[in-house]
Amino acid sequence: MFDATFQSDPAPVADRATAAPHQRARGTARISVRARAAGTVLHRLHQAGCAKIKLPNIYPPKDAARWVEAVFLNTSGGLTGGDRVDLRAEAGAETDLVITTQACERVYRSSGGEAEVVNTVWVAEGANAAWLPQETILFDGGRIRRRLDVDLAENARFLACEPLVLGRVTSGETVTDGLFQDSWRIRRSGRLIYADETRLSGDLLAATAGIGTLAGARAYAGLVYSGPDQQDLLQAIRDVPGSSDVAMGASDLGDCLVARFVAADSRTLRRQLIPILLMLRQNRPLPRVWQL
Amino acid sequence: MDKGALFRLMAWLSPSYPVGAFAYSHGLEYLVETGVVTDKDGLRLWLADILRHGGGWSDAVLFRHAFEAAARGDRDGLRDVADLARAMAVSKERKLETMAQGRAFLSATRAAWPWEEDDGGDGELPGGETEIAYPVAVAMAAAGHGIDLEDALNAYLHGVAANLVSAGVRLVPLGQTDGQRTLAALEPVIGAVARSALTAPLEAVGGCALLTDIASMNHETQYSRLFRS
Repeated sequence: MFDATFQSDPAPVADRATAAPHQRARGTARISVRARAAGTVLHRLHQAGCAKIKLPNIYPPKDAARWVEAVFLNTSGGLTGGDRVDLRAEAGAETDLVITTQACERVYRSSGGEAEVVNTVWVAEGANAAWLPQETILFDGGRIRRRLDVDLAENARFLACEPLVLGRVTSGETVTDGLFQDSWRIRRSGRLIYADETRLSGDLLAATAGIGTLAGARAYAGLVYSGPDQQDLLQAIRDVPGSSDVAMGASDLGDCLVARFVAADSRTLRRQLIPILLMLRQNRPLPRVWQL
Repeated sequence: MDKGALFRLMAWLSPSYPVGAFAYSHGLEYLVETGVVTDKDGLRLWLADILRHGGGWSDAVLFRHAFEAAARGDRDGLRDVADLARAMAVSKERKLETMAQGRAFLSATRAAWPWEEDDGGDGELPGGETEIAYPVAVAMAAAGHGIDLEDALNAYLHGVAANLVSAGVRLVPLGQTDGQRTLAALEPVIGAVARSALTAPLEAVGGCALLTDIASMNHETQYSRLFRS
């Protein structure tokens, strides 16, 4: 599964001069974890190009089994048209894995084409995996297509939350044009249980101004949770105190719980997400990068 | 347009077709309750968002691909679109809205307007999938009857818009004439969305009607409600 072939080498100089003005970034990172007596440990790690994975030391509470925190890092410092990043994570049977990112992923103005990000997560029998990247920031003219493909075994638990910010509000940036397409597919035992296509394209200022879309808000997060205990968790999400600055809703689709959040800015959004993520992680501490 | 196709589209997408459309507001009931939609201009703007960036656009793209798969007898392709449409429901009530109407539509249409290539099963596609979302169901019947895709797509989107205008008339509330003015004003949007969907790849499905999705989730716990979504 973890073959080492990838396309990280820059195009030959002749090609670059004629076809693409910039050297485009390529990155592939793969991680798998397995269960041992003391808890979850690293099994295999592979990284190439601009994609890196860091494994900070975790200090679980006394008597708690150890989990693995994988911190993904794109060393190219941001994404632009033509970049391609692949991340694959595999949580073996009975493991506990949380994946996050070292920094907010910035999607810069594209001079041609789209950045392509493909994230794939396998969660084996009895395992518990969480996909908790930091915010993606879409700059004016940024173009990205991203996939999150998740395969869950029976009884696996999975939590995902992806926050998106349109420009940096503090810098007064407005995003008038670009593409953000985020395609989620979650399968359990091979059956498609959830698909989401969050798509902002074309005149983003107009598209996001509507009362039915984002009413001018600049920050959004989608969340999904699927696991044997999900029935009890819908009410628990709804019981987390809300804020008048954040529009949020949660629902139980039968095969998974979903929630959506819309806020004026990323800080307000994060403040709302943290207590909910903590609760859904059964009060394990969130990755350090998720502290406010 | 031949008369048979016209009669069928008028019947299938009319408010009296027994799919229970009158019971669904797509989250509008919550938006009215919370003061987001308060008048006919608000209703028109919200509906334009739905058509361009929300359920209307996604339904139109799914409709196109379901229609074309059914028309060429591609049962695997049809099943993939049906699977995607089912899994894309954004909330419990939006899932009910599209799945219950899809089921009721197929049941009524198979009884009154059976078509040749239909498998005759109880909404069953190859692979044992028995749940067919509303746009996929209408697309299957339209393709089965050889109706023009663009005509069918326009009729479907117009039916969805007319139904939500009717919900708005009851909820806001609006006068009947203001309701019809709203529907008339949406004609160019409906036509443009249908035209774009005709050439849209399946990857273009989806949108950003995120506050509408949130409204439909919050409608589940709304204290006083007339609608099922």
